[in-house]
Amino acid sequence: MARFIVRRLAFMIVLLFVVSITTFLLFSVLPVDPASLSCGQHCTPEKIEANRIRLGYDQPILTQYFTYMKGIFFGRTYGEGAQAFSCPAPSLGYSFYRGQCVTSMIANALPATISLTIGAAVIWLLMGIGLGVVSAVKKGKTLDRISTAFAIFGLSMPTFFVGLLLIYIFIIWLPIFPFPSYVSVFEDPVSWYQTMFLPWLTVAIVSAALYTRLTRDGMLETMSEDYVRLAISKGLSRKKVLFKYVLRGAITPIVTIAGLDIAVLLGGAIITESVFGLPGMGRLAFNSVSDSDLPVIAGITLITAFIVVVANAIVDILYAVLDPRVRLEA
Amino acid sequence: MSEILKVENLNVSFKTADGLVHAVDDLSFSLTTGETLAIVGESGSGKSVTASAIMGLLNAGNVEINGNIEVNKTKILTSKDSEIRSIRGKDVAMVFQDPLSALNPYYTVGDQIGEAFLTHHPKASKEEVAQKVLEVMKKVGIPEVEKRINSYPHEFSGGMRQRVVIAIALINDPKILIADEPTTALDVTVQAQILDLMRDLQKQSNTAIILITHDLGVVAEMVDRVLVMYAGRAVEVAKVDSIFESPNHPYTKGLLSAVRSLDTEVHAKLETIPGTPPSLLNIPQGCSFNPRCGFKKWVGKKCETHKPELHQIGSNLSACHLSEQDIKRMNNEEIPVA
Repeated sequence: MARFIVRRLAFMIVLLFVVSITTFLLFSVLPVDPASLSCGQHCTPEKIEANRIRLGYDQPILTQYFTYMKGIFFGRTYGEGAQAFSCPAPSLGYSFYRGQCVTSMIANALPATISLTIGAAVIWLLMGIGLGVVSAVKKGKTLDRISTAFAIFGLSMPTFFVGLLLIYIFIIWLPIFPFPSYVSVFEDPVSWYQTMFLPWLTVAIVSAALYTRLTRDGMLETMSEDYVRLAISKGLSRKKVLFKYVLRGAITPIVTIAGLDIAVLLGGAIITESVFGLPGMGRLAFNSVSDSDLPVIAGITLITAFIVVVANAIVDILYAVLDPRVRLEA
Repeated sequence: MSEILKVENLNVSFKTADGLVHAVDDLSFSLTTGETLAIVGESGSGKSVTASAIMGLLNAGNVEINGNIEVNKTKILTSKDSEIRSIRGKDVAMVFQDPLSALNPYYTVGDQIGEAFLTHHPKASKEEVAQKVLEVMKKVGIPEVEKRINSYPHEFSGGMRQRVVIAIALINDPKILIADEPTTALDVTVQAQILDLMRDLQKQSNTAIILITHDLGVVAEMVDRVLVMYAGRAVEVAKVDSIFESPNHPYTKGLLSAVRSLDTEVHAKLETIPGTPPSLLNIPQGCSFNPRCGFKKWVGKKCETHKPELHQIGSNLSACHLSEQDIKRMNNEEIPVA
């Protein structure tokens, strides 16, 4: 088991380097010239050229990559003289557009996104798996139909519509919640919760449907396994058979999908964050794209890829924890 | 020799989209302590459904079940779920056909064997359970039990897994063991080992065994009595010797001639029973075997109109319209083509 984890983590590190190279190459071939973008008003070709040298874009691509990577590990100073700006490690670049280190912009955006993701994941997993269990147990009965209807509703509703609907119902029509304005959970937990609840619910309603279906179908499939019949014929209680055997057999694919869903959400839920005005990764990405703020876009891409790769590694390790047969193959 | 299992007029049917499937039709038999009964028949003859009914496993919404089943005086079909649960795995245990899929891949074998004990002895301490598990694992012939108790099913061979399944069945010293084709999925050499094991364990604990099989070699070797089923009905019940020496029912006779024994001439053509088993949605009128029966012409129309009941002829109970003379004649003749 320990060997499996070590090997999986080593593979993850290799993968992260590949991801960083790919991301870097991708942005170097974009038809956008950061030197002219950061030139400002009263721009002349000479100024652009000077900018290019100042920013290091005149260097060969490989040198640029190494400088970038060096920045991640040791920090980096951008510009020179009085305008010099130094970003401590891990430096993912400097936004001339905003005059800020990319790392600190991302660091400011992450808490809102993490709040959204974790809260939403808790709700959608409880809701999705709970409804799935009910559906599987009551297969073909009214409760199963209701939860199937709910699942189809969630799957077919666009996120922005669910968000606006919730705002209309819970903020305007029945003013249970105040208008959202994000504060850190450490500053004011109550307002944080009041702001975050509807975004959580929005993401949860849209995401839970898949988990309801996965749980239901997985459980129904497991119920016809011989080992479940053996468990029943041992004299185990219905509850024990249902949770220790049936749900256990259905949970592995759910863990996989949940890991990846959470990772993707951590990269930013652009629509949900926009609807509720949350200052998260999605909003940052959206604004940076509108502003053609290349260093920020590159930084977000790298971070998001990083999160997905790490989540994948965690899912694989969880897999081995959950299923003893996987450990052998390692 | 007390009666440990009584099945009376058992009827089981399943509602399906195509209609009512009559899986078991008016089946009655009993079992005494220490006895081994084989239930023999083609696929779909109702053997496994009967086993599930005895275990109280038939409670899905689409099942219609009538009659009476008494396991050690408890009426399975009318008792509360909690009462049946207290019998399952304790008084009556089951060994499944395919040991590869009968064990839960996520838990160690020790855990799965111990669970069977713990369910019926909720107050047992961890040490007691572990002790009991090691004991039963040794009993069923698993080597290096101290090490193997923490292994997962996928780390075992098929034969070893079947030993684990048997250990689960035996840990509570059941009065009845139902073995549903316990050796079908195993290698021939392992089959013999598992059968030996079951026989030895039966001698030690006087457990009654119901062996569901279509392997007549196993039947000849293992059992005291044979119940032959066809299309959900018992067509012949007899002691094992008289089944092999003088079957009463043409179907039994057909089954026996479809087996090669050491006496069979090397190049002799293997007999088969013509036709296929009937669809349980649409069981033939009269005797359900009549469309495939080679001896129908000795009886005539009656076979197509009257359902024969089990009755004693010679030493066997059989459900056939043939007279005693006809049966004698049948056993001296080749099977004519229907």
